[in-house]
Amino acid sequence: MPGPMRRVARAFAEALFADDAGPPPADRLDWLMDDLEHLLAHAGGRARALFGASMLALTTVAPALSAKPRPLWSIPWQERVHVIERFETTPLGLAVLGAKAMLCFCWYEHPEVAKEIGFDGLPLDPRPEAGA
Amino acid sequence: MSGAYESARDRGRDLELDADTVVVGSGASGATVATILAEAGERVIVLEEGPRVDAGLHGQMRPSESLRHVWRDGGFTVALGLGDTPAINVTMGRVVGGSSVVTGGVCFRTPDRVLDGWARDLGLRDYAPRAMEPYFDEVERHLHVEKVTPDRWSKSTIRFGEGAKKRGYALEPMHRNTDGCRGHGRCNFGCPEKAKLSVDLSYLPRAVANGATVWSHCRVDEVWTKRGRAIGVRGRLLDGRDGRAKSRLKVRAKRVVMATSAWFTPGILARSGLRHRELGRRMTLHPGFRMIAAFDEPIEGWKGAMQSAFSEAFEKRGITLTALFIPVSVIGATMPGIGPAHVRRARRMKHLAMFGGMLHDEGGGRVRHGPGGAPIATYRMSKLDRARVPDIVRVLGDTFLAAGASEVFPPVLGLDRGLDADAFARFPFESLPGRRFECSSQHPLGTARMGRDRATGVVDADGKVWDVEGLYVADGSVLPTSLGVNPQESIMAVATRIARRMVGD
Repeated sequence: MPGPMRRVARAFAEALFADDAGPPPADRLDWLMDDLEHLLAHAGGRARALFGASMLALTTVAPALSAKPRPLWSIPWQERVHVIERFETTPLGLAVLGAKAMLCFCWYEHPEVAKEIGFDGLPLDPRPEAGA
Repeated sequence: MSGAYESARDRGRDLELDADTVVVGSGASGATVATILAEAGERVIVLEEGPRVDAGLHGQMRPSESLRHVWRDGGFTVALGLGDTPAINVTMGRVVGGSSVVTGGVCFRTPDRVLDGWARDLGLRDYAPRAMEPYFDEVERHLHVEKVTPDRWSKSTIRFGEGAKKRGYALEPMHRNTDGCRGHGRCNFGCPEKAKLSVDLSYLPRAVANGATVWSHCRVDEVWTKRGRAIGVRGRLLDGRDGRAKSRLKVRAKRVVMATSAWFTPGILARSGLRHRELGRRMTLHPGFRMIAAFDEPIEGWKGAMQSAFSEAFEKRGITLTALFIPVSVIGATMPGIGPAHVRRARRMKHLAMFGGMLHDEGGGRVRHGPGGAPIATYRMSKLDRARVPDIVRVLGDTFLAAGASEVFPPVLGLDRGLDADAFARFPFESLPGRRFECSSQHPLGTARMGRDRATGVVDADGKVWDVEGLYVADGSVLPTSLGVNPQESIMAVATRIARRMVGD
């Protein structure tokens, strides 16, 4: 993933996964960016094109919705959340959904995040491990 | 005589092979044909574009890793919606075993009403219900098709069933090709227990035991013909950097069987010089819609068989309802909002249930081969099908709300909130433009349909391409109409019939 695209993707993820306490820890975002890069490398041209188009829209259009237009990553995270929310309501907003989907596919598989959303990964019929 | 699994991934030089029959595609139809022909003593080669993933590895892959290594286009294949039709995400496998590896394992016999229609209206008399019975029997025996008893149902499905009862209809147990399912709820990302008997486990090992060779990383670009007869296939090995096409592939064979799905078969046939006005047209998809619902109590919808129950109560309105659950990471992607609003919803994951429904569509899809050979698919819903979209969404949401859901999350793109009962009742689904609906499909069918004569079908009732000796199509593209039910077993039964005719049974 080219550097500028990675920067926008990270700024988007930081806002998307921020909770009331603020953006997620930097090391989780590092993990996310590495995993996303691997996903894009293996998911084929269509997925890369979709993600690239989303990032382009976020780079060029979304910042214009800020009170003080500037690159997405320079906008404080609380305002960034509102900017992206507003962008989602525009006709171009559907473009964000592809990027949101790919980020979520990776993010919610992070072991700590999975725990936070209550996913234990157990089947309906857990059997005791052999030898337990 | 034992065959083998071979990989062309690191070959680095051209490959030329000879066979009695070359089968292009290793999914539900290709594996079926290859197995029957190999058991009849033919020298069979199966060519698959994707990798061979040992079934034991699925449990080690996160769902998104499965998207990377097992699914086509990372799960982002799309049929473009024309007119007021939603864009439709069409998911397929790209792996030895094909899409059977990424299905929920649902097995339905083709409904009698559909087979009767083929026999009566299309003149395909050999496909009447009674004539097809032995082929369904054979497939079910080899796939180990069993009923999903209610003790395997997830709480998500049980709660939907409670709502259905309150609304005056009932769920029925699904049949699936499983043995020893423990309810991991992730069948479509490869069963971690090898309990889903996809064809890489149930058919291909038999083909290989009888001498077939299954080659992975082989992309077929065209059928090789000479004087009106198929004499093999040509393509590329995916042995270049990052799996790109590099070395040449050539397989000479007395018979070529296309089993690359309704998505790819028309393009390969067109590139091979076949011209027919029905080729690539009339694609049906069973456009599908999901509903997510939040309950006050924990649901943990991932615990249970992923597709365990269904209802045909709305079949007269063209709707089949099917149980469904998708990985939490994918559900997370559907949660509305950005930042704290999004995260708060995602943290209620344990409380979310899901159910789906699909349309028994009239067709309207078309596949063309685009630049570089990649198919470009479009889909225009008929007026009747388009009118059914809000209907299916209302049925799903209303059922969950009747079951006590506090709010529902309809398949509407860009919706910034969940809807409680009042908001759901007031929501203007009927006036939403088609592009706002989130729609998916796992069932592309019908792009090289069979017909009783050249005018009505690309192939005859035995899957043979009219006017090209030795060239057959055995995949879902030959099915001449939508089924209204998941097509895996239908595809395999038709492929069984085609293969049995080839060997003279």
